[in-house]
Amino acid sequence: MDDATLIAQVQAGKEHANRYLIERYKNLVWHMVLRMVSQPEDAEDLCQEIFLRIFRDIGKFRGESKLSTWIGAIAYHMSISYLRKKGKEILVPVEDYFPVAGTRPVVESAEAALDKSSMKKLIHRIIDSLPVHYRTVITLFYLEELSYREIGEITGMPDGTIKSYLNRGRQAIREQLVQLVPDLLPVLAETQ
Amino acid sequence: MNPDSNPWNELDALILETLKEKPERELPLTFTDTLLRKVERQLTWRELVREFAVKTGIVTGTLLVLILCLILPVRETTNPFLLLLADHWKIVSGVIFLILFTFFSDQVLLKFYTKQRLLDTRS
Repeated sequence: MDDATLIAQVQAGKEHANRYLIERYKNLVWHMVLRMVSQPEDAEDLCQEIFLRIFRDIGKFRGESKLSTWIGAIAYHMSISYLRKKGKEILVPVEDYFPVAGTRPVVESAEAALDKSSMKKLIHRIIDSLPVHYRTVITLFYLEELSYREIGEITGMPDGTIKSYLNRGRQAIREQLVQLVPDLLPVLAETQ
Repeated sequence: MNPDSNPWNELDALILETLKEKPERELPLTFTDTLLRKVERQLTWRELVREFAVKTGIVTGTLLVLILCLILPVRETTNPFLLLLADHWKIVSGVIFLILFTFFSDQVLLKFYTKQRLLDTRS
């Protein structure tokens, strides 16, 4: 179903269209919100609020962008508002960012961490500790496979900033991983 | 050890693989159903309030036009009915408020809860 048909059917109050809209975009909204907000219970409630806003404002969608980016933008802005209400810091450049003690993931040894699934869990925890804009851009680019333009339409960031956040974000993940598991690189080199 | 390999490449590959992975935690299976019920509730409420506003607007507008037609031609009215209304405007306002509230309860609240009960029984 194309965007225009879907919107028309949603506005006509067709329940199957409402259901289709939710099923089609719930993962995009969930992945974004979960990454931005971090707390799963809060993320779930926020996802509901986001969809209620989408259904309320669907008549305002003018078709200037894709429906997915319009929905993504609503999810992004509502998540930022939520974080502001909770007093969470939003704008922290990654080079100024230093994980607060207690929020940094703890690893016992390189061998324990080298189990692939443990490494992945550690990487996820590192991502969760990055500033929110980095997490958002990383999620939209790698997980949702959106283009720079689409990410720009959702977040309002220029292409240059998005690329910068992606590069710096990945660099920060690498650096933190090596800091947390100091023997990691030698062990990786030995196993090759 | 492969002399051509670089542990940073392997690390980058793992990071990339992790970035593309879906989160472990997913939305509950009942998410869509719960949300649809809320949407239905909101849409029903908005529709009923809109209908009520239109009906009230029509009735109030008509009454205002009538009153203006009665008052304007004769500024110093001697119509006993209008004089009675003007003298007891507080009681008149209270009665109008009560009528509006009853109308609102019937057209909006009662219809809303009846529809919700029907939906809950169906689900």
